[in-house]
Amino acid sequence: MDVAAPLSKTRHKTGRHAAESRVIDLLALTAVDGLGDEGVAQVLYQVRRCNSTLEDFYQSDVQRLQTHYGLRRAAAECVCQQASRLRADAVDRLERARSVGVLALAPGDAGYPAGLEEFYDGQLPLLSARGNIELLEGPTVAVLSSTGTSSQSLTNALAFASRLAEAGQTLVTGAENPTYNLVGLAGKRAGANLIVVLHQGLLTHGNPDREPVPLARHSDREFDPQRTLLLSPFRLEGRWQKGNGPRRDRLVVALAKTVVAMEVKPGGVVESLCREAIARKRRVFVCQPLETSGVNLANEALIDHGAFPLVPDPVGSNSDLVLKPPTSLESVAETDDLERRRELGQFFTPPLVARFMWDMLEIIHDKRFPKGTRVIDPACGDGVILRAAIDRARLPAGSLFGVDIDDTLVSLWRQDKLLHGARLYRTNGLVDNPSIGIVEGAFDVVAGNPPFSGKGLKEFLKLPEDSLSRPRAQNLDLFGETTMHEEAVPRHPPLPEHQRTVLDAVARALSRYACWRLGLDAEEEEENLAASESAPGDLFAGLNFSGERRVQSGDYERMAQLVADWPPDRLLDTSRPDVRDTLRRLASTAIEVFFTERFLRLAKPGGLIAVIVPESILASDRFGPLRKWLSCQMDLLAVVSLPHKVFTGVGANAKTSILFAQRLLKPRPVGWDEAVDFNNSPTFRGGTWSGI
Amino acid sequence: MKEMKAQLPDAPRLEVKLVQREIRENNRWDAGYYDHAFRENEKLLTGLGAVPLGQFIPDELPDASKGITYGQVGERHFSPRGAVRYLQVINIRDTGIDFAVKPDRVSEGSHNDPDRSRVRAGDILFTNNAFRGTDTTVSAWSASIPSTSAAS
Repeated sequence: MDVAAPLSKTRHKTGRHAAESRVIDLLALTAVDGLGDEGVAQVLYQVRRCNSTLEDFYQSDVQRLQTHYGLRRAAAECVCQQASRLRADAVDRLERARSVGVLALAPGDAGYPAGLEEFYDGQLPLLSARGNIELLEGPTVAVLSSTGTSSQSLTNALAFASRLAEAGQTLVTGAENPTYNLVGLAGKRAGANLIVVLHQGLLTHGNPDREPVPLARHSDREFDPQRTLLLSPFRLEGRWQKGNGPRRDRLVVALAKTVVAMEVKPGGVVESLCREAIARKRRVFVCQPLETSGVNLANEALIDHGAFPLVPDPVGSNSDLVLKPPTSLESVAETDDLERRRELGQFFTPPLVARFMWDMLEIIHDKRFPKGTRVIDPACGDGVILRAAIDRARLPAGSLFGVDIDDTLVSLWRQDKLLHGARLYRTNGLVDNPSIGIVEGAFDVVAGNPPFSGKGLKEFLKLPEDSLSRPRAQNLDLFGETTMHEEAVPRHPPLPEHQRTVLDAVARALSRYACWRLGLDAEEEEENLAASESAPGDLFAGLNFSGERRVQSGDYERMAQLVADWPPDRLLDTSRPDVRDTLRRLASTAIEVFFTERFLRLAKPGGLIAVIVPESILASDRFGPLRKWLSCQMDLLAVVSLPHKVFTGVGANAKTSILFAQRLLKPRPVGWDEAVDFNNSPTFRGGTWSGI
Repeated sequence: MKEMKAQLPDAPRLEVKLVQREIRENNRWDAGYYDHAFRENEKLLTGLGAVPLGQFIPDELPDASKGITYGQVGERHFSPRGAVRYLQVINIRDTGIDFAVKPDRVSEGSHNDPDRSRVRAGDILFTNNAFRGTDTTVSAWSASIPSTSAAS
């Protein structure tokens, strides 16, 4: 190619040469003095808008370049007078770029990412790329945060990004701020696809084989051209300069079909981009503010503006919301069917019962609750008990906490004006989350109606089964022959890694509970297998211990200790029989049993508890040890038997009662009641017993 | 204690009992257990030699069977076009058996339709997790519904 030929001479070339000339013209454009990257975008926009060509641009005189293409005089003169030099330089740069596999992507090119127009008002940037440009076509997620984000938020960002990467999402990220760096690391660790937007030119980036994610470089990761795409909206040799960060962030958000924002500073670039993304109907998830951050954030404002709230935690539990189909999070009405609620064990409390609970709590408390009373409903459903706290007990919404695992409730909460200001979270109510202030012993009142016989805990059964579906190392005997093993056949497909990590964290949290290891022996389990499927309120839920040893009741303490001592950075080894037994035991414990203990654990010492429980918790012989244990932890104040029609309107036929109790300041020893003379008519008034 | 202001459905009065000693002795927290009528019925049944079903079934039966099961066996598998109605606790209402709430069906002869679970006119159905007033008897309605299997 005659690199010294005038640019306009490329007009009659066709095929490969024409394409190459166009690239050279583009590269030459980026070298025009005084034009800048935005000026280049403006020229390209004008070319496309007028259905013109770059040849026309280069053939224009100074006046036309100024009036039609918006160039300043100096830039226009540079184009007119130094076109040959620009082109010669461009050819050199093209050679250098090609030698390291860099492509130029101009708007309108086949590989140019779709969907950028709305973020650039048509003035699309010229991009340079290295790696697999097909990654632009898959599901893309950006996890981002404002500068100066907290360390806790960084941990949470790493968790979210890890779960999303494990789930096969392509992560879009930058390279040089802490959040981007961690997101990149998450993608590398998971072997996921990664689109990295640089804040400088691709040829400035240095050694082309150098891993672009700094944290990954420390762990000896190498640039993987199949799973990585480096993109830059800056000229090839452009160095970092002020203003590059926001332009990089804009491209990150524009490339992502889904955006997850961790901590968003008000008035910053990230807030502005999130608002643009919401306005343009992109899926935007924003983390609910951390309880401990103490920083003024725009997160709540973005949620009010239409972003979907996420609960941050170090496991990334809420990543399942990001992975759900867009329509599943939009409407409550369409999904609010009876069968789904039965699956969740979810039967909403009638308002009359909720108000009665608060009346009783006030009678027990013997006075109005003060405004600062911290209240939580760890399985709040539509929030009816929290609403009753507001309109019956006159408590401010700001001191009320509600948690529920059902994501379809989120839009319901947001529409509820009475609950505006209440701290409502879509997360697992059985698990602590210090990020949002939900920890044991932190609440003055714990009131609610937890699920009965929901199937959520059966998810644990997938963990031990999952180990069966994974390849195992062959066991060889002394003579090198492969030992034959009869393997159980798993009932589920292999558990995706991101689900496995979340379930692992929940299993660890629940293993700390006492209820699953309270004097319940394995014989009872077998005896109850047949009835478990059809009997609401039964403790055991269809386990299959065939082929494995029978667990003795004394093993449970050892199992709990095993899980407690397991290294936090390693998943539980579900090929171990003791771990499998623990998971099965957890899975077989009815969800209402865990929740009954959870209510107690959430209450402060001296805090009040009001919980709707099925009759089995109160009456079944099987739960006798549980009741004994509870009586060492709390004072049973009252049991109000509810008429059986209370829940029939919502499809449940279970006999229920409301249990009112007060957590003890200090647990009593086992057998405490044997020394008490209950004939001395003890009385309860004003929150304390007398006569005991 | 103060008089209750709130009223629950079907509960025109709230009865308050202090039963601390009894709770310690019985380890029962259900309020109904301390109802006079409940205790009388319990005494009556005990006098008749009634025991929980689990205690009633011996470990080994004369015919060398391994035992008697009740209720469903294995995982529930509903079949919308199944020939057999699947009776569940929720179908037993104050007014009798009502399939409007969960009109599930199972395939005839499937593991969800063992012979022993087929209900017949004259059967008395108990639930294993019930409350007074909703156990039921099977009358002649089965003539209009070809067959029905019962979950426990």
